Amino acid sequence: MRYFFDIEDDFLAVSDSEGTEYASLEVATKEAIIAATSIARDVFTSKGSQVTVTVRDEDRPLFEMTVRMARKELR
Amino acid sequence: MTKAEIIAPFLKRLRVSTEIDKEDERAISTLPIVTKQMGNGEAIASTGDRPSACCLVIEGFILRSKIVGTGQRQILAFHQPGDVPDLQSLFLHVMDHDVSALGNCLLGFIPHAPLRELIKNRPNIAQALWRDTLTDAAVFREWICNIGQRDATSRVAHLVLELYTRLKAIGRTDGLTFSFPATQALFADAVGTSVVHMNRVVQELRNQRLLDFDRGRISILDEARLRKVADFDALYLHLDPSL
Repeated sequence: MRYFFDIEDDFLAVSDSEGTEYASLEVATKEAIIAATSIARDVFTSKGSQVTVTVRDEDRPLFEMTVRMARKELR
Repeated sequence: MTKAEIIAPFLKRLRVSTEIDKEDERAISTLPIVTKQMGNGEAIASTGDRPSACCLVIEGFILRSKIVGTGQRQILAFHQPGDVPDLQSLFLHVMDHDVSALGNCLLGFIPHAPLRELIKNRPNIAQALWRDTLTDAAVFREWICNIGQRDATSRVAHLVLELYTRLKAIGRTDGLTFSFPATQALFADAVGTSVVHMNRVVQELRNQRLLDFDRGRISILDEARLRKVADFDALYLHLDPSL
């Protein structure tokens, strides 16, 4: 099955036009988690605070996953 | 294809980064070399193999990789015309990683026995090949730094500058543009990031007017800024034998 991963964060919105083959939705979900968290590292260190990955198949959107940075001052 | 044409990329590269003389070049030209055309993804040598020949890249590109854990591929190195990527098989007899074609390429297989003889008889060539494997290790060190410490955008910028600098040394760039048949998925496997993250990096490099990827052609748009983003210093490539 072919899955498409759109990314939206504080700096960029990237639509996936090519997609990637994955054996199952489970594998695609794992890929989305890896992508969202590794992008989050780059975005957060550049002072961004949110990354959303939307996963689609050929026909429709399946789910979105958001990684958010929450910071609380303690002094 | 004549013998001179087959060994031309190899000699060109040895001349760039080592000191070999006319006698050495003549000795290299007597090596028996069997040429073979290979297609994208075809295996050249695989983990566990015991190769009896080293492979010289005459035209095109090849890559070295390793399958990790449940099947993820880590690309370890890219090689260009003039490289002999599995030189280690001359002394380390069992392959500990995979070597495969990247795009269509023309390879020359040099049997181990005459290559060993050549090394015994020509100390300059032995030194040149030794230097070659040391440079190989220097590039691996840089890749460890790249993957371990830089963010994804810098990693990709660094890899592009490495490819560009090495290709430029053998006269295979066109200004700031060069041909390299890698997909984004392949780049992702080389810099240790997901394909999805790689998509974002490519978009970011385009938006910042640093790089452009267009179906097998890579263009550097702003070399000075790209070097800064990549934290790139070409020293580790040891291209100049006088240094």
